[in-house]
Amino acid sequence: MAALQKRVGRRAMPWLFLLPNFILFAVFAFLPLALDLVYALTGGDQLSLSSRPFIGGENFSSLLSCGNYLDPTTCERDLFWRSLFNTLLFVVVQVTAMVLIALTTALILNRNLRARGFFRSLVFFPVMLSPVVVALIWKWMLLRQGVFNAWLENVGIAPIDWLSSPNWAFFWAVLVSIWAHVGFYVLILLAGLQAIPRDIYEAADMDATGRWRKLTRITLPLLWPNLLVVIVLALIRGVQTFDEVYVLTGGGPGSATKLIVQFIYETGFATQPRLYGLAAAASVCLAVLLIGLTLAQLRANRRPVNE
Amino acid sequence: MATLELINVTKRFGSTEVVRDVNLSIRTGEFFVFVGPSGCGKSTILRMMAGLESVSSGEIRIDGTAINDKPAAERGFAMVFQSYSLYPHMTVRQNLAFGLENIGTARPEINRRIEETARLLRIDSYLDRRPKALSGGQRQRAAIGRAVVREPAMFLFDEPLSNLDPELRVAMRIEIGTIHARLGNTMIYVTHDQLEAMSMADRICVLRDGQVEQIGAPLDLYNRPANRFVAGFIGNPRMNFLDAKIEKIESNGVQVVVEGVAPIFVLADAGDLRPGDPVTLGIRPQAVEVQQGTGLDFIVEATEQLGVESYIYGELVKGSKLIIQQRGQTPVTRGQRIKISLHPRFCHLFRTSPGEPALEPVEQRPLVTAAQ
Amino acid sequence: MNSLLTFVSRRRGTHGSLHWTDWVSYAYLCLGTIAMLWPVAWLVLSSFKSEGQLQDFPASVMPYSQVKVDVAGMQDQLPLFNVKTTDGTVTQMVQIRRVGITAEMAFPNEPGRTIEVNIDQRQPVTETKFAWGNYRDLFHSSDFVGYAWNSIFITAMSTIIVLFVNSLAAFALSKYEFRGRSTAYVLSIATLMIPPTIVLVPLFLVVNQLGLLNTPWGIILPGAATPAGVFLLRQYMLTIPDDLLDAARLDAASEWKIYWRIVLPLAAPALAVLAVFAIVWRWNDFLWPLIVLTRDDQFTLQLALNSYQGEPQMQWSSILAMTVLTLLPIACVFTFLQRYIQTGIAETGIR
Repeated sequence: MAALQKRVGRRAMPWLFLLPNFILFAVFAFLPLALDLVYALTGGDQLSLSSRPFIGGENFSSLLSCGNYLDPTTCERDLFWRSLFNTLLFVVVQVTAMVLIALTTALILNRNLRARGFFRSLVFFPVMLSPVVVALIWKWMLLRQGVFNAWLENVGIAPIDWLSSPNWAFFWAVLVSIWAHVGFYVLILLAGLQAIPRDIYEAADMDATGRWRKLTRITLPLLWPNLLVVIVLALIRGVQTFDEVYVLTGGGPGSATKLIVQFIYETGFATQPRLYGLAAAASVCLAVLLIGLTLAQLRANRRPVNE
Repeated sequence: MATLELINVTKRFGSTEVVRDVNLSIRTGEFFVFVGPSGCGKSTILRMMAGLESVSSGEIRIDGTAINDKPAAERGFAMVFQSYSLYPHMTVRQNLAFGLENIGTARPEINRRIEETARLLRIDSYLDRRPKALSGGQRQRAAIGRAVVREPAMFLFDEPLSNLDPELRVAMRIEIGTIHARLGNTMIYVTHDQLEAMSMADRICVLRDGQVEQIGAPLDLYNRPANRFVAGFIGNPRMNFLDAKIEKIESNGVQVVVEGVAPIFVLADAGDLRPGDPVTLGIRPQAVEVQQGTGLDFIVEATEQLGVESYIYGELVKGSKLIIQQRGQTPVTRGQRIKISLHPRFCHLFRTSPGEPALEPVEQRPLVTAAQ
Repeated sequence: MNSLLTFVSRRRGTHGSLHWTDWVSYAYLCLGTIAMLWPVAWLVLSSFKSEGQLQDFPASVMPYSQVKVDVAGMQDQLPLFNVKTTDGTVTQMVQIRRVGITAEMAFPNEPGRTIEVNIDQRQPVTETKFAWGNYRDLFHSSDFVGYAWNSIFITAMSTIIVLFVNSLAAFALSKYEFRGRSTAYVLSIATLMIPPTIVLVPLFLVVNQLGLLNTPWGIILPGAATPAGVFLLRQYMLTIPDDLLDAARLDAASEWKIYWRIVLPLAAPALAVLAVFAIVWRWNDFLWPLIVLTRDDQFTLQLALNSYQGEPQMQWSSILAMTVLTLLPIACVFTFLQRYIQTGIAETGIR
């Protein structure tokens, strides 16, 4: 290595250090990003670029054309619209519920309570689990002869086929993904809460501020930047949800819980013929959504704290 | 051994010049100190010598050969940093060995040198400890040891004592002096503390805003400051400066007046100045004598009685503040009017702006100053 | 001491006793504990039940097995039952043999005297017992060992490469001044905006062209250069004093040596955090392996679990045990390193 440095000179060394990382970035991130568009604009079921005919915006128009945009059955690619609709509903419900739960939990964990560390670890634990494991844990409880139905039977209610009913399946998909991820957001919010200087509260105590007023006029405004980051991060993650829902419900029953990433996966890799172009076009749509959210995140990050 | 020369050395960061046109030469075996307020460029000069910073223009030469492009490792210098910069994950022994291993020194030789250095610096008892387990003074010793063990052509010290408490600082000052005497290597030392400079240096270079103000032996700087800046920087407490006017020019000195005060005679050469020109009168606090009977009027505002000496703060006339240093204990109180006299030998005259050259004291010409 | 007490109670609200909000908080946390813990506990308990017990409805909480006792004169142990006798009392008897709907039962201490009992009149006596057989069977199946090996190989390799490549880049970006440095930094952070979900198709082409389909490297390499890792390590390396590097330069260390001997050891805490992340990322990875690894001898544990649970004649006993084993390494990592992980996340917002 010393010999190498002699050869290229000291000034070139940082470039050399960056090289492996950048080769990987280039080959596995930037190049694919560019190729995404190439795929989206070509047709056929061949993977190799040379045997794919250029078809312009046909993939996009196929994805986006509908007789009536409120009725997926009139769309050329009704599955795309269904999964898009499912994703939006999923994200709205999941993010709202999850942020509320995370906020409540963080506020409670920020109190002067016993065993705080234990509770914090507990709520964080599922974050580390693989989505497949999470899905199987819950699937096992949701079986027809599973433990939930056993409880229902105890109180005299007939068993329910949780995962065969579209509404219940959607409900559980949302709930399971909240269960799996909420701890991450609790941690970020808790860090934000603990960064609020204690003396502000002491000053508020001197001013005889009530509990509720302290929460609404001090804590929440000071926590707002973190909350914003959490919301945007949760949105970005939520839009890309796939693993746990796919293993839990397989997107079913029917297409009740099929999300956009599953549509891309199935269109490009799991059905014959493999419609790479269509999958790439859907990816581009997803990318546009994500870039918007990421820019929102960068903005949220830059927001001054004393607002 | 080696003579180190700086020829028109300039350093620019972007468009700002932090070191401007520095010329100097450091002799073999010399203890050479750069001193100046923070931001004067002293550390940058040291880092350029070390090879850690590139030279924007000019040349750094060893024995007449430019070493501008020589990597730090090949210059054969060793450096002691302000923050010690001991490798925190290595024991003191490993710290000392690291540089020798890098240049492929044989194991037995490494061990021999470490033992020798450890004995010299009295760090043998904690050679196998990590820096974290050492006190400030011990870390400092270990850091010097890391430099000594390399047996470098030159030692570079970058404010090595500024993180120590005052007592330890005095002890380490003496210790570094002893090491210099023992090893005889050239040592180049950077500090913002004029006391350190005065007490350790063979020669001092005073820097301001990236430029050399004066180079000379410590007492030269004290006795014959080249300008008002150097006069104010060297010596503690600071030299007093009063606005004055030239009244009369004589062959062996100049008579000046401070408004409202009796005329004062200073042993200086007026040069091109004429009677009536404004000058700054510099008076060392030690040059003032409190006396009974006649003298200049002085109103005491505050005193600090330290036992062995005392400082008296007050006014000569309205607006002319003065600090007086007296040996022993001086029984004066706030508000008291006393009489003082000035010792002409410790008075200096300066042109009014701080950078301009001082008026030369008459009796001690010719002067050795910056322009060598 | 007194003032300390008043201070604490003031923080708690009313003096001395707990405020009602404290009770609500504890109640919330207790419910939360059940919600977070029960699913996992149920999985673990269930994984120790035999396939037969898993079919029980409603299921028992603890895994059990029937008690068997030694009976004089009998070679094997005999199963013990609670038998309801004709007079309504319940006694414990062993079953000698069963014929149709009647069983030949005896008291354990006098096996010679047998009684015929209708099988409806008896309940097996059970004791809590963990069926390790589910796990034993897994370790004896070469499939499972293969999946586990694939997962371990991918995770270990990937972690090493991530640490090496990212720390090199972070070193360059944090410790050198050079033209284009901020561009390089922005570029590497910008890849945060390219999650794999949006480049699945072209990434598949790239991996295919490189001949990495159905190899572990098809998973390891695309995930090796992580912007999050570069970010995390760079932030940490910025706190290492530059003087230390200068000292090493004067000690004649090459730039590589500075990286390897000075910066890397000093960045160990950040490397540990990234290592944990990298392990969790790769071990839990699902979508990309699902696309790249289609031959089932290349499957990771996650893929194997997914494909098992999709089979019609699946055995929940082995799926549950395998799920527990898949969860186990992560649980260990979590238990021992949770402090680092949690501070790492709280400080960087990375997962």
